[in-house]
Amino acid sequence: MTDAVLRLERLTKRYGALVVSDEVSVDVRPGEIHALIGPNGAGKTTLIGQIAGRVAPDAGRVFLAGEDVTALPAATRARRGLARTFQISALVSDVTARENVVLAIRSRSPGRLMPVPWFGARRFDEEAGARLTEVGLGDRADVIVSSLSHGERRALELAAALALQPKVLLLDEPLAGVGKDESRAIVKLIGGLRGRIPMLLVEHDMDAVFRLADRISVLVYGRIVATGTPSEVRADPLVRSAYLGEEDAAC
Amino acid sequence: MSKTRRDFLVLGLMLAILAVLPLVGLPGWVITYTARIMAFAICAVALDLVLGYGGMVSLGHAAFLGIGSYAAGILIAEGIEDFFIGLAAGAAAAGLYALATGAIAVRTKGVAFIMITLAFGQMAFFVANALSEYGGSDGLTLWSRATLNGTRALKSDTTLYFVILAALVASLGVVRLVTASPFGAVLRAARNNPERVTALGYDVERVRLWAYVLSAVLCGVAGVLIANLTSFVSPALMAWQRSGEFIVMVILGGAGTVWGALAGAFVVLALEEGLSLATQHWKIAFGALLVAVVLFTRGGIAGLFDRSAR
Repeated sequence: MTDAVLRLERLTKRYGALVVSDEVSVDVRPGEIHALIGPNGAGKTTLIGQIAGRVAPDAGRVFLAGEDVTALPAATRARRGLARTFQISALVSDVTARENVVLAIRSRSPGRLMPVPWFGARRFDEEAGARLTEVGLGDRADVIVSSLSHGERRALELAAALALQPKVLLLDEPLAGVGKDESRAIVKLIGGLRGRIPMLLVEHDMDAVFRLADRISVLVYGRIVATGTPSEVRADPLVRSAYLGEEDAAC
Repeated sequence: MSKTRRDFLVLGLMLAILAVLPLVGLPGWVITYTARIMAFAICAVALDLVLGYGGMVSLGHAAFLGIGSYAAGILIAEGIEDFFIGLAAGAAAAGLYALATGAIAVRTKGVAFIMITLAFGQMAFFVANALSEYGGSDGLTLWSRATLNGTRALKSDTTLYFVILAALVASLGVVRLVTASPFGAVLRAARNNPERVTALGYDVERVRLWAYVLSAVLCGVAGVLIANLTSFVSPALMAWQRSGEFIVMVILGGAGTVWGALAGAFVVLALEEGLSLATQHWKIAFGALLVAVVLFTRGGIAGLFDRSAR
């Protein structure tokens, strides 16, 4: 499995006596949607943090396209092709949707921190418009982000992440807090990216996960207890007792 | 008229008034005092880059002003009187101090950032106090102003006035250019959501650091100008109260606006002078006024102007 786009090798993170990530090994292969599920407190957020570069693991390594990125800061990982969305929509809220995408597009160019105005900026505006149309926000491009609906912001996050032209996309609960109709639209959007960009999807909505995922890994108390196709995972007795059953009871 | 055009019209008007002021026969002290306000306005404009656009509340900017003025003063005291050498030295000294201290400060945010910039500002203050060869706590009187291309042109208050005005215009231009650039877009975006900006592949701390350094360089330039204007440098220039005054100028004028910082500098310093002539308890009136502005004008003077123009 050396051809994995994203590979976690025995990632371990402890907070005091609590082991939040216990030798977690996961790989995301080209073209696949790999879902990561687990009950609350299983350590999904901490794991995402370690992949993105916000949290330093105590042991283990992260490989991006075969390259060890464990020591690289978050911004560098992003430029190397690791894009992400956040559990709670994280966008620059006081500028337009277009400006958010332009920031992402420009991040790939050598003049991204040029200290004088960029007179070729139209090109970026147009590309940003195209990206927004792709996620169904074509006519909302020049709306200030704080006036967008929750679902629209989710879509915008996706557009910004895609504008980075990433090698792999981390989706941290893209459906959290989104209404039913908008949720369906986003699932469709993510499904439409299958094959184009490999994704690691963290999500609580089991319908969405089983519809989207090519493979699923189940994280319980910081440990991966199962990895497999949706039907394998559904059939796994360990998963049923640790997670799915509990979820059913809760619903 | 679009808001942007209106803002630049206001700014142009303010600068035009400043340009004709020495030509209308006002008493000399008005010209000198206005020149002094303009030099401090450079600091306010510079601080606005960090505070208004970058969202970093620096309580140590007076140190950069002081370092710039000491660099110029020490050079003159040592017989190196060329204005441009002094200018370069002042800008470089302030910039280097900002680079060294900012590298640590930008790792913090919020109150911690305020405290750490205050601490570094106080460090500079106490070093200046201890410079016994250069006057120590009494300050250093300069026996002459710097020379301009070998001439004594700066002896004239009017000439120096226009040099300071030119520096102010240049500072406004630099800040405008930078805030309209990709760098500025990242700086502003990072004020709003640093996490997002990091996830887009930008090194937020580095962007903040360079904004901080650029801001300090401009304050260093202002320090060189003040040293020449008053022919005197002293640790009082670096007192933390002055850093606070710069913050007041920016907030009062309107943070992150085209002309807010400039207006703020003039209002604060003119009020200080005016109120202190009227009563020795002027700080009470000034405080009340400040509270009123903060409470009733969101976005400072510039914000107030926007709402009444609409």
